[in-house]
Amino acid sequence: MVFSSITFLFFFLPATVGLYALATRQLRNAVLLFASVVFYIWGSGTLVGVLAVSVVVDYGLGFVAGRAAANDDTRLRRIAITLSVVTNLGLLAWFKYATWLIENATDAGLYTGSAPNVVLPIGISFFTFQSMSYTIDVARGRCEHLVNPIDFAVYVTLFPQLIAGPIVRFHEIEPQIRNRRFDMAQVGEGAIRFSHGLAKKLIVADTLAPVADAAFASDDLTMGAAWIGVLAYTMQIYFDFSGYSDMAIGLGRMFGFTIPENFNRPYSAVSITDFWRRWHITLSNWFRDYLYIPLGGSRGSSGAAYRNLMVVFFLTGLWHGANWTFVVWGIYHGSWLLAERRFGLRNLDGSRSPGVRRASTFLIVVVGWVLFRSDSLGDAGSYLVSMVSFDDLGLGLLARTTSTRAVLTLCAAMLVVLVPRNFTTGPFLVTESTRTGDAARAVLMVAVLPFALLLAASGAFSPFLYFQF
Amino acid sequence: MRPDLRLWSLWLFALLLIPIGMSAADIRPNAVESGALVLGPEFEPDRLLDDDYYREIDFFLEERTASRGIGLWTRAAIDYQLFNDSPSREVAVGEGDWLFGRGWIDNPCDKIDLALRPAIPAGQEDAVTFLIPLPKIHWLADLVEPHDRPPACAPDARERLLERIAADPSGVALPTIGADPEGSFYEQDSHWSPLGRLRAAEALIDHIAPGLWEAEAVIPAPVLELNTLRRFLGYRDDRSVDGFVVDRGVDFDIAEQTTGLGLLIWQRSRVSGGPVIPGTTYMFGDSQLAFMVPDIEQYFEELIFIGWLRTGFPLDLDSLPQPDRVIVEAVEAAVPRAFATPMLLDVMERLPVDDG
Repeated sequence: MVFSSITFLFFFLPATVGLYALATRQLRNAVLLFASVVFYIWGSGTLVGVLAVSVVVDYGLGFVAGRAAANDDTRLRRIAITLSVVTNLGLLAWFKYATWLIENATDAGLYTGSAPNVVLPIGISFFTFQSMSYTIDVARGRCEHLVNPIDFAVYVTLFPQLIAGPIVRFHEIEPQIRNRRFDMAQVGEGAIRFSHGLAKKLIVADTLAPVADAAFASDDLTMGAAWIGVLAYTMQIYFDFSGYSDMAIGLGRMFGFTIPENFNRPYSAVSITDFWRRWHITLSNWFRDYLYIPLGGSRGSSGAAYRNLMVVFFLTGLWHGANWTFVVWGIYHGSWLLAERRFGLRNLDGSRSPGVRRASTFLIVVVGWVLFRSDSLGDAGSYLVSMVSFDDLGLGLLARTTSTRAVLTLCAAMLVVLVPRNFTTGPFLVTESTRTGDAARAVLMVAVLPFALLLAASGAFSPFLYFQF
Repeated sequence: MRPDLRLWSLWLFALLLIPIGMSAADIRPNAVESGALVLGPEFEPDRLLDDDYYREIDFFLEERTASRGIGLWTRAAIDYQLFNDSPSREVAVGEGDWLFGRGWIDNPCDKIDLALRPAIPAGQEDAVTFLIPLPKIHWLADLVEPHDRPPACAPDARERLLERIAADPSGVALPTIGADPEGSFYEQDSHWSPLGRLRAAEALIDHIAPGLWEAEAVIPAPVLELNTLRRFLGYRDDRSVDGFVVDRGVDFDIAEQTTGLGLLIWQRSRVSGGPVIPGTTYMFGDSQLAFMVPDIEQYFEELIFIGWLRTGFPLDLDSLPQPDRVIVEAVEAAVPRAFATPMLLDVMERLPVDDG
């Protein structure tokens, strides 16, 4: 079930909020768990079993980790963390990477059997990371373990962020799992945030999708078409994923949760280091807390720090999918970060040549999206060549799928590059108490939201991009 | 706490509950799709973990939700009326706001080649009839220009066709459909209305077999006709128009038939007894001729219609009988595109236009 579907918008969401509002405080987590399981089964069927394995294992390990933390038992702590990591990464390895690994082994002549036909459970990259986060945080003594299995299951399966994040580390949400408020003001905040995300997804991302799809599917790209296509994808992925995150944050707010922000104007970044503090923030934080710092972080020699950085970005790329394109994309970004660190170019406050820095960073990111979006490294290479082939500047075949609305939408979407670095629309819409804020909310809710709902009602939406990761 | 936040929460859920409210009140626009609405799946406890079961429910809710019609209409109205764009890849907006099927071509070249192969080398040029509704000729270039042009068909077939037309343009049949294009075509849709189709059918039969057309076999029958391309755009259009059925009283049999999306893809029919056009007749075309087949099929001893823009043609073409004549629909953009437009359009421009 996707947030922009008719089933979710007009049936599931009103029913769930209604049930939740009617439930007593003691039953609210049970209502959320029931709704989350229905939500997951709706899209994944029997693969809910994979989710259940992750939940059951880490719920049990939580007791072990809790005891280890209470007794400061390093050995027991390691056992708990190791079992959690092995279980969750094992699930991830089998369901997400087994086919790809075997195909690569076959290509290399190391294996002669056939690759298994494994179906990828939706959101496995997200819920396994959350599940691991619980055991690690408890083992480190950062949080108490949860005794009530429903409470823990709600943490892992909470439907607003179950299948595409944001990835919530356990210590960020622990108090809210146990006790939280439910009132109409919070529901109102959530409604505004959710509506904002829905509009980003349906009005912007889905309009740009056919342009990007056509460009990346073409065998005969002109230079103009290649640039329009990758810019369309650049905006599509941002509005799609950040729109989903806005919806998740808004839905969480309706049920009393404060889900962490996932985006902070990433296309206004002044360096790649800055970009990764603004793009998919919760994934970056997860890797920082549970991989980069345990590896040694930036402590120790420069060589060790660079190695740690590259390991993190290699895995960040791989996390996005079982394809060499994602691996190379991760290494590409890691290399830029390494270069910025080596040559002192991180410039996180944007004080030096901000215009040039923002433009160059944006260009680097756009080129990276070619790797990310292409089906293979060969395709990515051909696409990049098209971007610098001056033979034909026209749109070529892309003209067929580039409608006036798509062109106008792309132009409007590109304005996000120019927005001030510290202005984020989602929080502004919820918190701004001036007349400007009131007017912006009114436009969103009275004009934009009904239009988005009508687009949803027409049934012409595409799935969220980040489900596949 | 700001009071407006509470109001916005009520507003959101009021909007979300509108479709359920409309459904509860049995308010639903007329179907915007051409086919019958899907039925909801039965409750089956053993399928509760089957994701296909939920897909069926999604599909059912999507189609039955009351606001779907309004959603489609809004989408189409904004895209089409405001931006002059089509929200559907199947539809293109042409000159004068007329709507056209873009003709996503599978590969019509082999079928066109098949049509021409037996007729032209055998000196049977007259056996090839091109059916060209005149009002559309002049829009082809406008329609084709913004879009891509697939590679031309097999050069031999193309050259033979062009030589054939250039040698004797007046020999190409041009059924006149009258000076009343609004009556012959839908208001914006570039397809024939039932009236236009009837006029074209009569002209076609008259061209091949003068005197055979039986006006008395046409029985008026009001029909609910949705303009095909407007429907693709999502416009609701449920106006009833004057239609007709043809009944010549002959023994008639449709041997095989395939349809898709409400449109005839291919059909093989046979008539025994009565005055008919003898032999085997092939018709190659798309939506114009596909809609006309029921009007003329009783006039041909054997009629084989092949929709050339459709995929999945079920038979080996070479196994079919040799044609005695071929009728080619030359109204779609596909034909000039397939045959390299400039020369064919030039020839078409020189053809006599009959406004009467």
